[in-house]
Amino acid sequence: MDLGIFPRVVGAKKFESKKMNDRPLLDIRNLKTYFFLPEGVIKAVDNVSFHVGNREIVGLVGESGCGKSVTALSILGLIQSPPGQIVSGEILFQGQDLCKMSPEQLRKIRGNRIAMIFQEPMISLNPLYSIGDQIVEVYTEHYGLSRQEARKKAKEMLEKVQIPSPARRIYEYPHQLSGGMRQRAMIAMALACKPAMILADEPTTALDVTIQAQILELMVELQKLMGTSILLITHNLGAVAEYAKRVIVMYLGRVVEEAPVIPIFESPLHPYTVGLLNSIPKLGSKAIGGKKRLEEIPGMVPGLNDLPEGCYFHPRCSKGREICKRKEPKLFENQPGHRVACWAVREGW
Amino acid sequence: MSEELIFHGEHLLDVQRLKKFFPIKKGVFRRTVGWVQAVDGVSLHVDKGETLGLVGESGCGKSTTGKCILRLLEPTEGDILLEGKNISAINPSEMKQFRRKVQAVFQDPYSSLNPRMSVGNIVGEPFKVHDIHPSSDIRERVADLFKKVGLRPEYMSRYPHEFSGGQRQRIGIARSIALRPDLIIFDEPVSALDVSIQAQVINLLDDLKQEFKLSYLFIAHDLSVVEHVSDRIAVMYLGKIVEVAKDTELYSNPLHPYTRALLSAIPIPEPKQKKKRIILQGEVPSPINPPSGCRFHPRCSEAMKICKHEEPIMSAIDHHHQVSCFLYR
Repeated sequence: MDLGIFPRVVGAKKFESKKMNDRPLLDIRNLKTYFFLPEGVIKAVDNVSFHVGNREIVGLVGESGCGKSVTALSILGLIQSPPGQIVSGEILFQGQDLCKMSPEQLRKIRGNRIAMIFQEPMISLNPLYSIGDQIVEVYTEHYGLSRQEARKKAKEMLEKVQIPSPARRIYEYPHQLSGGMRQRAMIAMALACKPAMILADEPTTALDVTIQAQILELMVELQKLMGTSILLITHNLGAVAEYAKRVIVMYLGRVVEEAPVIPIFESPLHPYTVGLLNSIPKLGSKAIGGKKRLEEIPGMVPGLNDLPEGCYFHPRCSKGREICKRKEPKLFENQPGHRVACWAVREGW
Repeated sequence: MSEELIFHGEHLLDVQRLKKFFPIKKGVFRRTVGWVQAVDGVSLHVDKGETLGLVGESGCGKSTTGKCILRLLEPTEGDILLEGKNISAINPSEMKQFRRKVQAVFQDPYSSLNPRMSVGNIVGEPFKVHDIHPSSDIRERVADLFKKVGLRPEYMSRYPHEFSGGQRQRIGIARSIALRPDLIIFDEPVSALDVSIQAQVINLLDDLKQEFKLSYLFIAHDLSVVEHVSDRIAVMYLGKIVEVAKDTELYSNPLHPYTRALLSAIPIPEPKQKKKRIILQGEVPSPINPPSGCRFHPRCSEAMKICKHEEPIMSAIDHHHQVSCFLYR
């Protein structure tokens, strides 16, 4: 592809990446995506940095309004502007900054190198084209295949995502498929170009539990097969625990904690992560320990136009002290690979 | 049938062989060409002070069951008894009494509150409809209810759009307890809420149940939530109840292959614990043309010959556990 024409990372970076053995596939640095509205500036993503390695599944979790979807849209250059804008920061994908690319260059990457799976396949599929035509388009658009060849490939792809009788399904329209089948078709489309990375934004939230399990298993199976990286954006902590290697927790546009999956669930540090984990009912815990009251995080998520000073979590935090009200805690590495943004952890109170 | 032999005495709510079929109409003359068998012979009961959880995937008929009990839908067949009284055939004035005793909270707090009424009026309306308190008294009552559900009474004059999803659900709950009902039917009350807000609402429901000695029918698809709130759980599949058990029993000893698959499909937030997952093949068939015999047999890993031809009936494993499967006959 045209990846070669871009200058590789220079000097010190190169040395660093050699030392690290490989540079991350996706490296987001100090990303700020703001929305400029008449009511004021909404800082949907505020100074977010994280990376996704090759063949890695990273979970991005948080409640609604925490900026996880805006992060994904920023990566794809799909922020509607105006009112939205990437104010500053870098999104390095295979070493190139996506923020600096022209729409044409982004178009070549989107769908080809980075694919996206959205929550609601009924909205993301075009109702006027058959499933087959929509997958065919991926091949004709990005590979320049003839329609006939593309159709053959599309059929193979539908087989891969285990859609029964693909030869017939290829002519069907989205409304003729069930929710699970539509999501399979979406996955087929996303994987058609063998992307290096998939952004999966709540891929199973609209589906039933048993179908959810089918789709997640399928995604992970294909991920292993094709060596794709996945950024799994979800509020379903169970799915993250099971499939992700590393977890990033966001709260109101900021990353509050980042760690490999086991420490996140077994020894979470940030009071928000702790609260989030304690507030979900765990299947089977009643059989072991009897009925316990769920722990709540008091209060509610403040609106993005009405953010508190200092640490955004302090009005709901049981460990909050004076400094939390005044000064924003920066992410620091508490243990190798475990970063957290909290004064209480940093100062050890 | 065997159910009735085991459970005697009076239940608060007793649903017997409830059926709800929706006609499918086609053509210029709207001829009925088929039926959607949404609920097909459901029997369940809720005792005083009990929470019965009703779980199942979308299209299994759990919401239709709830709506039939509320008489928002006219059942095709079957009896619904509240405190022993059959409510399938009651006159309008008795209906009003029934409405006082049975209340409902629905999933979407956005569409169940009238956007043109202040939330104070929304919560106070049941008093007016049922003519319970003099109108001078209502404001005070509503303020009380607001405090009970954790809302500030100052908010009474605001409108629904000024509240978040969790707060709206609290408003809906305040309205539902206004008349001190015996039974509240919840249809996916927390599925639209964020995790941290979900916990707050679940705890609130627990508190209110204790304080007002309420009984709940809790309809939801999230088994972890249902397990947490319920005393007993009924699992539905394609219009039928396949298993009923005590909350802990259902988790520790699920019998029906569908229940087992459902439980195993739920990802749990414990990364070290890799569980063996039963991945069900295919999808829930259409309730228009449900499979013959046991409705689960085309997806069941343990299906036998008999499952195709004969329909299993509910049989009791013990006092608190019933299952409808040929494996246990």
